[in-house]
Amino acid sequence: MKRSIGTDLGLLAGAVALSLLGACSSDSNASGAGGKGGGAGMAAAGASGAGGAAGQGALYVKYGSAIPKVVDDAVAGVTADCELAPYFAVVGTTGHDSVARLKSCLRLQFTALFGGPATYPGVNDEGDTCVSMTDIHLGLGIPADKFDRFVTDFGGVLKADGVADADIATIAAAVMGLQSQIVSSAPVEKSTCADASVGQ
Amino acid sequence: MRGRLLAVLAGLTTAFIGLVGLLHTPYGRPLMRRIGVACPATRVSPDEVEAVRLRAVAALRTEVASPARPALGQTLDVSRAPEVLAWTRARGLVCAASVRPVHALTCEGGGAPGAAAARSRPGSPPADQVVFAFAPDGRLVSVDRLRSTLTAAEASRLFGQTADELAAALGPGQLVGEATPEYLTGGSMHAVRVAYRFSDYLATVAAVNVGGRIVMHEQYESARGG
Repeated sequence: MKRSIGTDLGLLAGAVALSLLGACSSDSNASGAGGKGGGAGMAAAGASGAGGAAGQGALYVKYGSAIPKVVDDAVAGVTADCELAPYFAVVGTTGHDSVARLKSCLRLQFTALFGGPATYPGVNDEGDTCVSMTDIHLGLGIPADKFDRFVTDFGGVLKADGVADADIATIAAAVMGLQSQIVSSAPVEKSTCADASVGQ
Repeated sequence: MRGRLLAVLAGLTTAFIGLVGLLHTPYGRPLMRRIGVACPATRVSPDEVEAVRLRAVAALRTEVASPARPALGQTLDVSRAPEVLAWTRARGLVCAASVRPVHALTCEGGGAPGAAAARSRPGSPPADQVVFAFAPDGRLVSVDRLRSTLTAAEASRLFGQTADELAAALGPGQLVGEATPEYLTGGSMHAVRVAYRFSDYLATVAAVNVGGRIVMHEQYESARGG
């Protein structure tokens, strides 16, 4: 059976596109509002791998068993925030990440952040690949005020869950270190969609 | 001939779908922004956002009804945008109304509304931002105030005042951390937080050292529904 060059190019394009779409699927597991990491990727923004800082192994010994609760509390606290909730709005909807997978990636991040037996980015406990913090937030246009909201929500959760100040400082160093990568210099504000300007 | 045409069309269609997929990856999003497509977070619907919020609220609320529901002088589940807008105008706030991703009034500048009622205090640093968010049916469901540039002394005083006012209205909350300037400046992410969890109302006030700045975040929201 003969096929023309045009046919071959069309099929080739289709094959390439499918592979890209496949890449998208795995990437979107942790991508912004469109995927797994969602805005909550910030919840463990500093997780870059086990043993990244002195004492993190000790953090895992102290708090490893509390990681699921910290993740649950962080997700609940952040998504209850009307200003942050939009970044999570597609989580759990068809074609996007589930809440369970989001939390699984966050547990991986926290485990890595606390110096436990994990690296981030890496494969979570559901066998899915979670992408890097930089990649997650790239192009999301997260404004500085959203970062401030997140940090206050997250800091409060850590404190309320009994993480000691000295240990929070270790985590904070990692979180704050990624601020410049998370916060966009050209944020996409809600005013992009504003229907009116009032008050003046 | 027809088969070939169909194959080409199928390939191109698949390529288009793949391109759309690519644009939704972390690598594609910057390109989308360059071509004028906004962040996905601004494109979700108010219904979707409210569903997310209600899921979180359901996980946080308790069985006990709140004796009061302070929200910067507003009435949660009752106030609507025109009333809130009039209130903000009376205080000189400059607000922008948005319809996506949530129905909200985002206000900055002017006289900061007081934590407990519709008044501002002498010497109070300006609120950086106050956001009034409405459910898709128009009810006010959340009032959020963020002050991003407080000194430790200002944060300590404001947190203390706000916590006292909440305690007077609601009783003791779940307090962690210390609201002293010394503690807040003692380290990055040193935090003081008071939280209230009721069946119909959530309030969280936190002051946190964010890289040397003290950020104070107040959230008052309805826990009804969902």
